[in-house]
Amino acid sequence: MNRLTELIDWKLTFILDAIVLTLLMVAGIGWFGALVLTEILMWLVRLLWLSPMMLRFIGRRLLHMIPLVLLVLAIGFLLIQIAPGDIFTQLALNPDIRTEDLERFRDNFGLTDPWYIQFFKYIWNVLRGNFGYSEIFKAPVFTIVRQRAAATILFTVTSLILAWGFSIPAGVIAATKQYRWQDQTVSVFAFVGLAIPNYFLAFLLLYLITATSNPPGTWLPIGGMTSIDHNTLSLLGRAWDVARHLILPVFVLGTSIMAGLTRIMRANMLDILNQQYIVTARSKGQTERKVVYRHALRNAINPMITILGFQISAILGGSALVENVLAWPGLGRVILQAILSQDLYLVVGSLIYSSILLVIGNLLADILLAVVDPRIRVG
Amino acid sequence: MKRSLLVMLSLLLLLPAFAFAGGAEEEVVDVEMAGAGTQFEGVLDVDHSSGWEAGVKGGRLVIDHLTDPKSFNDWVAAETSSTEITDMLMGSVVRRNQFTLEWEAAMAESWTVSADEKTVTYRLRAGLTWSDGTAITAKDFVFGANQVTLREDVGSNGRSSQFQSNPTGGPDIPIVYKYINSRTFSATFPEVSAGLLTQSGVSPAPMHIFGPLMGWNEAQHGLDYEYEFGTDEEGNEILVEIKPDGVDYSALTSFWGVDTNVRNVVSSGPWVMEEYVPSQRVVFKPNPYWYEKDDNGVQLPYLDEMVYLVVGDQDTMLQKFLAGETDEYGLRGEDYAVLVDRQVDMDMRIYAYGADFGTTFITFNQNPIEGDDDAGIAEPELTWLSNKSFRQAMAYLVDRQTIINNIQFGFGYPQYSFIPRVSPYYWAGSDNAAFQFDPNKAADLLDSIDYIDRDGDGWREDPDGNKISLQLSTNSGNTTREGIGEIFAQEAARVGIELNFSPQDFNALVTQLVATYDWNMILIGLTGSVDPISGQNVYPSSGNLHMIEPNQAAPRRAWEARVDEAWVMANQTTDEAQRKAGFEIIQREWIDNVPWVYTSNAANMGAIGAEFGNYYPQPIDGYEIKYISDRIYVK
Repeated sequence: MNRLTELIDWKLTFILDAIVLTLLMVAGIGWFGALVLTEILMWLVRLLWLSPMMLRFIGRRLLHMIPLVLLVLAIGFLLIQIAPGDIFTQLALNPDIRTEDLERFRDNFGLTDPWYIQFFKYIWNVLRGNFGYSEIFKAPVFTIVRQRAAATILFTVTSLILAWGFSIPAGVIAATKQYRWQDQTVSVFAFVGLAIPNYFLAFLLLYLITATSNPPGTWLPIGGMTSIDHNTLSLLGRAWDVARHLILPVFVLGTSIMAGLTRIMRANMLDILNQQYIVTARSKGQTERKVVYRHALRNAINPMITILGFQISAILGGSALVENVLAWPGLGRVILQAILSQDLYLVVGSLIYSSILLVIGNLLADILLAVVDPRIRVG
Repeated sequence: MKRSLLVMLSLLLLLPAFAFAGGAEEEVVDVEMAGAGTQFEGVLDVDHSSGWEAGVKGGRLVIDHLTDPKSFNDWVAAETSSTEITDMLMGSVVRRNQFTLEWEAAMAESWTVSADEKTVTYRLRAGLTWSDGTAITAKDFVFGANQVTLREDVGSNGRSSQFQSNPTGGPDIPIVYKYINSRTFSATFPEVSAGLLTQSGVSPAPMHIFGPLMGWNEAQHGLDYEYEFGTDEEGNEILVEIKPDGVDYSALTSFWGVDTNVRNVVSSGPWVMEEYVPSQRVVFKPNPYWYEKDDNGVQLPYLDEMVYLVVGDQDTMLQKFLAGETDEYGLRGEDYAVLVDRQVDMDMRIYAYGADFGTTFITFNQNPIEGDDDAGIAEPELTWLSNKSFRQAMAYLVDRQTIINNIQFGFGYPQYSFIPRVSPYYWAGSDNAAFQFDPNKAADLLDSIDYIDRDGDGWREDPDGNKISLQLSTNSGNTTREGIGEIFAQEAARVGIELNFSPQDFNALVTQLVATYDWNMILIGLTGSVDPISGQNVYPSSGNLHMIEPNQAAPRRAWEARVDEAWVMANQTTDEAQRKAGFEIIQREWIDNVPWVYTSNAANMGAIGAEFGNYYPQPIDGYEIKYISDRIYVK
């Protein structure tokens, strides 16, 4: 291995990128997915040269993921087993369906096996890349997730960007102007954001929009992601259409994330601003601007990065209620429905995706921390 | 000082939200009532005998839809969120007339019934065509029944209704469908049945698409459904399907799923799908090959486009309607106050179109424990609940008017029978025969069976001195049922009967009802229909949903024997007078013996833009808009 890395210059690996990308696209993956996959893979390869330590660290964390996912799976299975009835129980009160047909449905779906047999069968399927079959949708879980993941990612990532982009400066301002009007304003908004439940805020906003418009036609759409005539619009028109629909959900989710983050950022900053080295920096005669942004902010940001890791895990399913109220066509709604109707594999499948995201989110956070803070070393 | 000023200011910021929540104060404008009498102020009654207005082509109707469809394959679709979509794509041989409730030809131009009344032969219209241009023949109908619906591996919900009890004993056997010629096919029942048209009124399946998909072809495998008798592990005689070699019926289960291109889904109904965006909308366009025209020869459906918006939440649906994003909205009782005064400024009308078909009732478990491994309820509850006078006393305690006023916001009807009031089989004497709310009579009845307060604690005891205390349950989350349960338990407490009301998870409740039988009293509901023939599993004592004691080998109680007999009388005939007589007996026995007591059902109300015509949701179809979608037009 060492000889390989010494023999070949790492920059040569970029040639491989093109080859892998072409292969993946030939295999039928869309250009965007292929590009993302290729770059992830190739940068991992390049780590062989750049930082073997980091590569070992990533490998170890990914290995840790296996028992975690298995445990989450087992808990998911157990909870659904404990809950009374199953997905077909609803049909039992339908006078048009005979009991023997009901039994056949259960048999076809594999529910007549004991739960541990179902569990190991499922694990075997997952190892072969089959994440199970949704009974209510009569389709593979992967298909259901793929249909809706884009909408959810658009919604949550935009909210996250907005929340982070606002809350860090707001937290810094609140801390540096402690107890002055700037701090008070930020704090009041943060408390209001924390106090109002998301789904209620969503309702309130919907009501506000219809009450201040003169229907038909409102100044913001009432939920949904695209309007009915979306397909007849130009490319720019479509982007604008989605953006208009995005405003409400992003506002609701964004403000609630923002509220918590701002409070944490403010507390972090206040903590750091009272440290000895800040006093030292000030007494050295550095400008206040330099003190705050060079010395305080860089130290105060570390706990925030850890929080970012957790938030990544919630990207796929963390906002089901808001999605439901605002008719956003995301994954959260489907997961909510799957849980309510006890659609075993859809629930378990979405649990797997979330736990994988949790691990990857934390991994990214740790790597980011190492990049931001020279005191932290991976390994 | 400055700080408190800031707090005040921030509170002021919140005020606009409350101001909007208070609602804009609108002038009350009376909507002029066009002729028809009205039951509810400001709400028009739908005239169920008016007939269709002649419409004009064009326009778009946008309505809301609670959850995503799960499949576009009608034979696989299991629940209403999917079938409401797929039924738009399905034609059928015969149907009941929306206004007269009589059977009428649809894709069939006529039908004949054999002398023994067991066989019906359908003659199809000429020129029926699938939406992809392929001709629809009698083969598609027979294929649909024999090679799709009946096949175990397809897992169709419609399979159960294709079975009939075997007059010579043994397991149920299916209706036999035979292909005669390209425009004729027949359905033969094992015995005379009132469901002759209901059950054999099938829809065609696209043989030219499903056949190749399953590896089935007519020359090799034939159109017929074949079976033999065998025994299962426990030695019971069962029906065993004979599966032709090389045919994979299960290929259908995931065909036309939610990931399909919806334009490829062929339709035999008035609509075809144009677009499906997951969790957002389904768009329909008229099927150019649909056979039906109105009286003036105008091709149906009238509308150019119909859109179902998937909106997961009822309150959001209301906001969408208020914002003008949807054209129609099904009201809950609480929405009335929001909408009634906005009819003029929103240019829409609210219609009441009749009582909901679902039933809501309180049932009394009378299933004894016999033997060590039998399920049921123990003493003394069994004795109390088995006492007819006790159940009648309970029936006197259902305060239907209070339930309607307090829980349904005044928009409900008292319910006395499992058959809807508009049905020809409804027994008109039900209202008088039923036990009306009267706590005094309830108390007298309880006194008469010596269930009296013996120790002066305010609660009644039975003659053995046991305090009468029972569990009452319903499914949690259903606020209407929770409300009814509360009111009923309060009334019972007033006459000295303790009812411990605790809602529980729906699946847990169903498990009690169909498996463990260890409940006392349950408040639950069933779906209803104009023709109560689907009650086979509910009203006869052998039914698995005969909740007081399901699956009886022979009726335990004398009145159950009478109901069983009347059920045969009402359903193994095609004579309407005999059917009515049979159902009257069942309704009489049900009211008198109180296996369960009915409470109330909601008034169905819908609001729709005033520009739309032919908005006549009809009782025969459970008032669903999908069945009138081909007639709705823009004025």
